Amino acid sequence: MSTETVKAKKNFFVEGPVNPSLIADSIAKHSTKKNIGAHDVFLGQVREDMIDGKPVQAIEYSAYKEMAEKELERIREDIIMKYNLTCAHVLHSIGIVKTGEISLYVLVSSPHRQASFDACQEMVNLIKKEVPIFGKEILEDGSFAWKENKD
Amino acid sequence: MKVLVFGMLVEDTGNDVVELVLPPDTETLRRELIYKFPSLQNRQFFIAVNQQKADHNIMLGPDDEIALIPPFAGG
Repeated sequence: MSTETVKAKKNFFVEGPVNPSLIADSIAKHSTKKNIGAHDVFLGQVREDMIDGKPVQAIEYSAYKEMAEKELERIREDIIMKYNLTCAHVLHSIGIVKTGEISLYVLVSSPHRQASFDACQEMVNLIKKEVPIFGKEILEDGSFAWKENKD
Repeated sequence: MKVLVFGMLVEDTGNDVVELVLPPDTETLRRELIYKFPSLQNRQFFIAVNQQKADHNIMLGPDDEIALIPPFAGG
């Protein structure tokens, strides 16, 4: 069904956690791009924060999907241009992600390492700051708290 | 007119879609929403028009997509 010939709309969201085997497959696909000399990967993992003495069990992510997709595409294109990347990929979870599971995957690829380090860091910061994704931290006793990214 | 509501703000409005009579601009909309849902007063949020943040007062039309957006938590 899926062919790479047509530039399909990027799919930035996955339901539930980002599966590590999906990440491995995504990295493996780059073996055909011979001008790449460096990849930098960022993985966001749901942390067991304590809120009022209660441990976080999971985060339930939601998004203003249409706007988030536009923002993610804009960020991706800007970063590729700015750092002359070969390519860049983002996957973010929607729905429940338990502590210890991966909620964000960012991969940037470039001919040399410095651009990949810088691009990856800037891209993750922009995703946290500019994309309308929301998170509800679900606590052990079933209560919850809304998460907010700090600048 | 429909207003889309996201994240924690759904607790204030009670629903993820709010029906209102179309106000002339985003500042009026903000006032009307706070009047209707007083707990919004204590929230940090912005209004997006057609998926763009309204960082100044914007005139509204019947075809605009309007959303209330709380702080982000991606990552």
